[in-house]
Amino acid sequence: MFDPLKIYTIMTRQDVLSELKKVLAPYTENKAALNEINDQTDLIKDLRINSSNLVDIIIDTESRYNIEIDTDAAERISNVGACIDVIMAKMEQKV
Amino acid sequence: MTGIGNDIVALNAINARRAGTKQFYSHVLSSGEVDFYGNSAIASMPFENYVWLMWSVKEAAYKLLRQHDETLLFAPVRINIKAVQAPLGHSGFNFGRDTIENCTLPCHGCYCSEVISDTQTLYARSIAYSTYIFTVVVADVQMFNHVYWGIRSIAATDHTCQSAEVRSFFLHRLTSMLPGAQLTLFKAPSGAPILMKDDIETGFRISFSHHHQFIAYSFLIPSERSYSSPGDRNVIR
Repeated sequence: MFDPLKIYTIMTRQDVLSELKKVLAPYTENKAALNEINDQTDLIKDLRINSSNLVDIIIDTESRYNIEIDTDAAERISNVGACIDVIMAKMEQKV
Repeated sequence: MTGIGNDIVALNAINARRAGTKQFYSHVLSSGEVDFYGNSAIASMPFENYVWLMWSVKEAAYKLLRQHDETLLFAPVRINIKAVQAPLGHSGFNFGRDTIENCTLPCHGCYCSEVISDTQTLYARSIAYSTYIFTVVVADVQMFNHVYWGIRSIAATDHTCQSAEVRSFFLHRLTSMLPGAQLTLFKAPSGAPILMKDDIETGFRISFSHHHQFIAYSFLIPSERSYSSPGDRNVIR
């Protein structure tokens, strides 16, 4: 239900992408690829993020957006587009 | 099911404090797997190392499973570890050197686990040393008597170097086992390495891993390529 006293922040897909770059930055050495990420960018193959950092990325994403990423959602996070889908869906659930 | 998966975790590259938090380990472990830590033999290792041991087993299992289903996504909590047994004695491996290689992975020196994924049972053996955790997963526990593996510490830690170094490390071992052969590697759609010998696929089951300063390989030789005697395991007929 719409709460008129609550401040709603509408984030566009582009806004989430910009924030997501900051989350991913500490875990990739491929800064050039990070600057050009799009929905199809694979976290491991394209950004060369070590799989051991995937949980770190989930936790950092949870903290940045104040959301909880469950197993079903975490399983889908393999590329940037899927990350944005999960973040936007979880943020929508909060509203 | 055929195949092999491995994983290596450099313990100096992990965030130990974070790994010990519920927010982190709940993305890796089921509640039952958390309870295994109550086993006194396993509790002799720090909890954060235990979390990474479990991660290593699950990642190695995923690599094996992905060789059979390249669409599989990695969700550690969906890969269930049924049992973990701490090492019964000294591994006998010569740790502390830059390179360690062997052609068997005996249970007594390893953390031994059973992994359940859907209806498939897989078997894991992990070496937990002070600086790394290394795991190999296979589908038949007898394969550990025939698994070739190696771990090396390297200077460079960037992805490109790690990737090149682990291939070179593996091919160096194979060159001595297959003298005179023209060996090349390429990657299957699943990500698993494929070994070609003189332009013919060898059928070797191979897995590579790298993390920070450590690189590792493991492989199984197809059963039809047998040895003439146990002492002849360094040259493939």
